[in-house]
Amino acid sequence: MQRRNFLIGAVSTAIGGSALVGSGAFTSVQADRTISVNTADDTDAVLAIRADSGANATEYVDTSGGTVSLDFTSTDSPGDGSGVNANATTVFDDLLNVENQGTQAVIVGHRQNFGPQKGALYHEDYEDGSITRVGDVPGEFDEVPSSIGSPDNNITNLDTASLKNLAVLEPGDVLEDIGFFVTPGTNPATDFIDGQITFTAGAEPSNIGL
Amino acid sequence: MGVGATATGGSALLGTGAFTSVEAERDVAVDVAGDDEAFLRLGPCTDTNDDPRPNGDYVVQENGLFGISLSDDNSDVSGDGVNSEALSRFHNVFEVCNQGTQSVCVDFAVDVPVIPNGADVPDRYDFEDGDLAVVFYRGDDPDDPINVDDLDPDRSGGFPLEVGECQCVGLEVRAFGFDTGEDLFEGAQLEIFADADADCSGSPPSNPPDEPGGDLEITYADSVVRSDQGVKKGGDSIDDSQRDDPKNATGNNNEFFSLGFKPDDSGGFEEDGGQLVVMFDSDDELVQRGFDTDILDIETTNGRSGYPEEKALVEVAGPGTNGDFVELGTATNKASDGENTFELPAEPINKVRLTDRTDPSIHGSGSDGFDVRAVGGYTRV
Repeated sequence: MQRRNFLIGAVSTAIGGSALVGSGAFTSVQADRTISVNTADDTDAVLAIRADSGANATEYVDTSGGTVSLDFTSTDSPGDGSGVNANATTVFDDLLNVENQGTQAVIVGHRQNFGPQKGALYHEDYEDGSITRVGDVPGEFDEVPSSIGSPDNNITNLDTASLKNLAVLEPGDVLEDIGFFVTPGTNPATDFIDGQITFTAGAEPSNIGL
Repeated sequence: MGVGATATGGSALLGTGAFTSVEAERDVAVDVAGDDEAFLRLGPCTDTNDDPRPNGDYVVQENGLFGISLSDDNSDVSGDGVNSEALSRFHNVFEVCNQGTQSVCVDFAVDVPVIPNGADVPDRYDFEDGDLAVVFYRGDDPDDPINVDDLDPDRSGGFPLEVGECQCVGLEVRAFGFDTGEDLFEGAQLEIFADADADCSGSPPSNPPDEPGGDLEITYADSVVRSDQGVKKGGDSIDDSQRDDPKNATGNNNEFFSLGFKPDDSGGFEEDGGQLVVMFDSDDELVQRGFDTDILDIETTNGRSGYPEEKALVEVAGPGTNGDFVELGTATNKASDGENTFELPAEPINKVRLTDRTDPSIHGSGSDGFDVRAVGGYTRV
C-alpha cells in the first residue's frame, strides 16, 4: 500500500509538472508565414492539359498562350484543307491528354458552350484498362444518342455522359488520346465561334456540378 | 508502462528520504517548437485519425516554419500551380489547432490580390473582375468564407478554438486575368493571430461588397487639382464640352472627361498620355474597409463590345501615403460595366491621379483615350 501511494504521489507530481509547463501556453500568438499561389501554363498546372503527340495535335492544338485551344478551320502543311467535309462525321483523334497533378483522385470531364449536337470531346483510354471509371464497368459504355454521331462512347461531356462512365484519375494518372468529333452538317468555322470547352475535375460529383 | 517509467524517475528523486537541504538548479525551458507541434499548431489539415488529408500536401515546412505553396517550389505535388483562366478549389489544406491550455480566438490576415480589371471571367460565376482572386473558407465549404482583410481576433470574422480543437481551412483561387507563372500573392505574408482574451463569439458582420456598412458611405471626387488633357490620335484638340471639361470627372453623373494622347517629337506618342488629378475634401477622404475589399472605383464610359481597349494608370496619394503617389494598377474600358476596382494601400487617401495608357495603334484618328466618368470610394461618416 505504501508503495502504491507513493506511486500515486509520483504520478501527480508529474502531472503537476506538465500543468506548470502548460500554463505558459498561451495567451496570444501572432505569426507571419509565407503563402504563394502561382499560376501555371496548362501543361504544368494542377490539372495539366497538354497536346498529345502526333500529327493531329501538332496541326489543331495550340498551347502557346499558356492555355490550350483547338482550331479545326484550316491546316497549314502539308495539306491545305480549310475545314471539315459537309454531311460527314469528322474525327480528330489524339489531340490532348489530361494529367491529375493534384493530391487526390478526381473525376474528369468537360462542358461545352456550343450544345451537345455539333461535336464533343471523347477519349480512347478505357480499352486498355489503364483508366478507372466512376462506375468501373469496363466495356459497357453509355449509349449516346445517334444524333450526336460517332464515336458513340467515351465522351467526356458532363452534361450528357453518365456519371458512372466518367474517368477517374488518381494523382499522376493521365487520360490519354482525347479527340474531338464533328457531326454531319456542322461547320467549325461558324458553329464553334467563341466556342469554349471547359475541363472540370473534382474529388466528388458535387464538386463538378453533378 | 508510460506511467511506470515516469513514476520510477520521480521515485528516484523523492525516494532519497530525509534531507536537510537540497539545492538544485533547474532549467527554465522555453522550447521553440516547429509550427506543427507548437501551442498554436499550424500544419497540414488532418482527419479524425490525425492522418494528413490529401491537400495537406500544399503545406510546406521550412526550418520548422509553416507555409502554403501552390507552386513549383513545392516538391510534394507535381503541378507547378493552378491553371490559368480557371477556378480551382482546394478543400482542407491547412489547419490551426489550439494545443495550449485555454480557448482562443484565431484570425488571419493576408493582402489578397484582386482579379485584374477587364479580366475575362465567365458569366457562370458569382464573382467578376475587381473581386478577390483568392477566398479562404472553413474546411470544405466555400460558402463559409473567412474574412482575411485585417487582423483582429475580436472581430467576429475570427473563429474560436477550444483547447485541443482544430480548424481546417481551404482556399478558392480565381485565376482569371493573371499572367502565367505569376505568384498571385507577390510575396505577401499570411498573418495569423490567436488570442485568449479576444471575444469572437458573435456572428460575422453582414456587409456585402457593394454596400457601404456601419460608419462608411460612398463618396465621389469633389474637385480637380490638375488637368493636362492630350489630343485626339489624329492630332486635333478635344474641343467638345462633353469631353474636355475635367470637372465632368467629379461627382457621380454621366458626364466624362477624355484623357487624350500625347504626341512625341518623332511622329509617335508618349507612353504617358493626358493626365488628371482629382481630390476628395478633408471630410470626404477615402478609407479602407475593415471587412471585405476597400475599393477605389474608377468608372469609365461603358464601351461597346468590340471597341478597342482604352486604359489609364491609376495612382493615389494622401496622408496615408505621406503625400506620395502610389501606383495601384490599370483601369480599362473592358472592366465589367465600366467599373474598375482597386484596393487602397493605405488610408486616408485624398488624391487620385489618372494617366492615359491607351495603345494608340489600335485606335482610329478620332479617338481620345480613356474616358473618366467618376472616381469614388468609401469615406467615414
